[in-house]
Amino acid sequence: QQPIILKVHSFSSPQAPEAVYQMLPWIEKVNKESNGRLKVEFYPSMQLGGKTSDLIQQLEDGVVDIVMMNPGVAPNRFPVLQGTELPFTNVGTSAGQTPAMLEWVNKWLLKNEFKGIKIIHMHATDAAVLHTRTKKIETAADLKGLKIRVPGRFVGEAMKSLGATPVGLPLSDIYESLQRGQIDGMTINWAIMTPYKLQEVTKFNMETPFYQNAIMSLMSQASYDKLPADLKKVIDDNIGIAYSTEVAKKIDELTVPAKKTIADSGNTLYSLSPEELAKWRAAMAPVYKLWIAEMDKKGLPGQAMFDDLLATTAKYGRK
Amino acid sequence: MRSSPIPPGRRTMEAACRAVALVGCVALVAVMLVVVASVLGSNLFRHPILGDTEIVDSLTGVVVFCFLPWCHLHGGNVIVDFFAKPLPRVVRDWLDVVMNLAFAVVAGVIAWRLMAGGLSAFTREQASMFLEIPEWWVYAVGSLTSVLWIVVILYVAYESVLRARGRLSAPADEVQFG
Amino acid sequence: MDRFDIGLLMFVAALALIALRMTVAGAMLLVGGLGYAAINGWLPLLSTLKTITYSKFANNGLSVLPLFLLMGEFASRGGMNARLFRTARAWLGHWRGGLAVATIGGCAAFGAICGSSLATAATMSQVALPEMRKSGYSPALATGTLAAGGTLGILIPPSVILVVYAVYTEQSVGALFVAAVIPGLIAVVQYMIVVNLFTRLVPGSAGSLARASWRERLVATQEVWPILTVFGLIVAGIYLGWFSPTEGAAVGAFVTMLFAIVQGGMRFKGFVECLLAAGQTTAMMFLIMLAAELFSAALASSRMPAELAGHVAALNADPLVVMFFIVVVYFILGCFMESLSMVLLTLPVFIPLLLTLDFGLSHDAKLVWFGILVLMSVEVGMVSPPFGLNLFLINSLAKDVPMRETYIGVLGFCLMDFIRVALLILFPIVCLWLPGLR
Ligand code: NA
Ligand code: NA
Repeated sequence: QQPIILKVHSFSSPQAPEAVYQMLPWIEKVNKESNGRLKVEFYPSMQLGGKTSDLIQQLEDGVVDIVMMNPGVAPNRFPVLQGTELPFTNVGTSAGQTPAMLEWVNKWLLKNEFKGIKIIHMHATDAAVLHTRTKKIETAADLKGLKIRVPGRFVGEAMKSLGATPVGLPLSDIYESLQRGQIDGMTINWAIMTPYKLQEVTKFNMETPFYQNAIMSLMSQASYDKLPADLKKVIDDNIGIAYSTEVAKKIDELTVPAKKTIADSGNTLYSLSPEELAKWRAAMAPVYKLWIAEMDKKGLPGQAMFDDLLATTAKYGRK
Repeated sequence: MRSSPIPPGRRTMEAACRAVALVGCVALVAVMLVVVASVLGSNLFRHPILGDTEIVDSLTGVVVFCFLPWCHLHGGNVIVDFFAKPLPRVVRDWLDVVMNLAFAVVAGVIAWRLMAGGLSAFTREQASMFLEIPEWWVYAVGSLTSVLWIVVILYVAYESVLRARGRLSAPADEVQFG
Repeated sequence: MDRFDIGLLMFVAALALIALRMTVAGAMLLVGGLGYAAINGWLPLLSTLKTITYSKFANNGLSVLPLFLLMGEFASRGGMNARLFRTARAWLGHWRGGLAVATIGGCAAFGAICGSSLATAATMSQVALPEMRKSGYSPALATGTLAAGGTLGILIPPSVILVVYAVYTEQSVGALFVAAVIPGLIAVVQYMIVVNLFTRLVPGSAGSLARASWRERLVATQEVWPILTVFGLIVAGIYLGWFSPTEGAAVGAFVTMLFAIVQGGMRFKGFVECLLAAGQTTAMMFLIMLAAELFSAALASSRMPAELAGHVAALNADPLVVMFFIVVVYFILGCFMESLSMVLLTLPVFIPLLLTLDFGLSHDAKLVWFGILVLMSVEVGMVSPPFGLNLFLINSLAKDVPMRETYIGVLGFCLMDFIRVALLILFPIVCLWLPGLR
């Protein structure tokens, strides 16, 4: 009997942490537990064509069965989910905040942005912070006129309200853009710094946690429904909050070594002063308002969702 | 061999392609100016332009779409005339007819899918990250110009039919391509 | 027929259609699309086609190409190219093949600021091609020089491919750039040798003039300040981080436009002609790149590279034999694929294979060495006849040159490429010495 092929299309390379610690082991495990009746195949780096923003449509159109992506690349497809990336709403560890994210998503989003989609895994990355090329950022005024690469729209709005100009850029282009001074800095989580060698092209790395990115692997419900019951069980055995938290723990293990590598390469790691941090937090108010207003426009209870987000992340130890 | 100097319909084709290509020219100039403004903004005035790359994204799409018909009409799409060279001229002309018809089918599928993609970009409200430039209007430009693109490909096939039947001499640039 | 066979068949079919005078883009779109549908089904193909065209065309990353093309058009319209080459002629014209040698040098200089083979070939063609032709260079030598010279855009660092490779293999981008320097310089010297041999072996392939007097040289040199200013501005600007290559291209186009209006007497009609010419080549190249993307998506789903790698690993052959085999695979893929997507497709299968082989090198040295080999092999694919994106680009810019001439002209350069790749396989020290790896 021919095995059932499931195609995984991913924005990341096979060396990226989310591939190494989630997707590749997951594929191996599922293939094994299905006794060879499932053949999950990994297509990294957009090998099947298109831009990262096309991934979700490829999933929904049935081009592929599973995608790995972050919500920021499809700005209008996951506006609600991007609420979890609002700065200072969820700063903590990956393992700490991942259950919070999933709990909130399960409560508010399953009938909404995740209709027709089965969440294989989703995690909040370790803390994403501000890294700059040549200029140490000690106050928001230092950001004026700088171009900062951001992963998504709301982090971009946050940068705007601090005075910087946000730039969208694929992960693979960051290194060269920083090296040539095309951008002055970026916000990105620690774990991704060293695989992409970004310590080589930044000098100042702010340790003050800013936000946490969402990374997710999604399966099309249609692809899942086509599977026989025992194979559905294989999938179901390998998803859920506990599973995602296991992945998140591995991501957390990368933070300290990454910081050490960065520091050893001669970079300056530093923190915002408490007074300045308070100012930055205050500057986020219009960004939160923007997100809430957008939810309201969609007929969703924006304020209630936002309050619940803060309550949930606080319950899981937000700092 | 009796040949008419200008095949019927050529002038109409030229005019239509030129009109569409001129829109592409405007977009190309706009690309240049936006990027120059962005350089000046971030270097001279320390005030980078928000979303400059998003504008260039859309405009580059317009440039390419508007030049597809013009490019094919003027033999801009590369043909490798190396292996078919030993064949008699008339065989090569008929080959051109067949290959242009096949290309027209390809272009037809692309045009059809562009329309479908534009519709879905519209309903999904796909837009760029910061300026929220909607994607659908570039799709719309592409859908419109690719209709002309298909017509041009069919027209080029028709010219090859005329040529194969000895009613038209080989075009100047084709001869030179040798 | 399994998907591996479909993958193989795709190459044969595309080759056949192109040989039968289908446009290169059309053949690759047709075969790529049919292959994709045969492997994945019609519905996935139709869905993919919904977004792939927009993603490829509405792409500011590729806008560097039309902008450099436009700069070239303005430069020739404004007579700047002619002046530049009058000067080059005054200094080098009495040497056999002097202009072609100067072109190689120009490509290398341009390659030091630009990471794209196609953009380098496009820009340098517009500068050098008309003038070489006017000076009596044979079409074969002129177009061959430019096709090969274009690859210096990517062989000389910086190079996008090496950045992607560094991320894949967790190597330092800096080390890879440094490692690429000596092989890149070897390529420059080799290409200059080819030009020299070509002019010796094919009499009358390059015009040679009487030695110009010092006075003539000085007069000619005075004329070139505009283009040198523009070139200097772009090089300095990109190095100093004022602008990216795309921005450099836009600024270059804008400034050459002003020169063409003020100095070259360009009027509205000429302006539009420049735009039309740049737009036409842009449409041609973007369509080929769209076709290459569809083709490589089909190839990725055929899992052909993975299966090939599996077969090779099973042979337990000598590591050097495996390495030669990998290089040949790159030569073949290079026929139909754009260099970056080729690298993205093959690294996940070749890197694990490479790591099982023992060449007596350290882990890092092995990966850096392989990176340079990949870089070189990928570029050979782009200039080796009969199919190569650089060849198609040059040939479309050189409207009056038959493709056959370009093939003949580029052969010698390809031979040098093969020699260099073989040299690098046998003597890894060539690239490892400078970054101090072993
Ligand atoms: Na380069
Ligand atoms: Na080739």
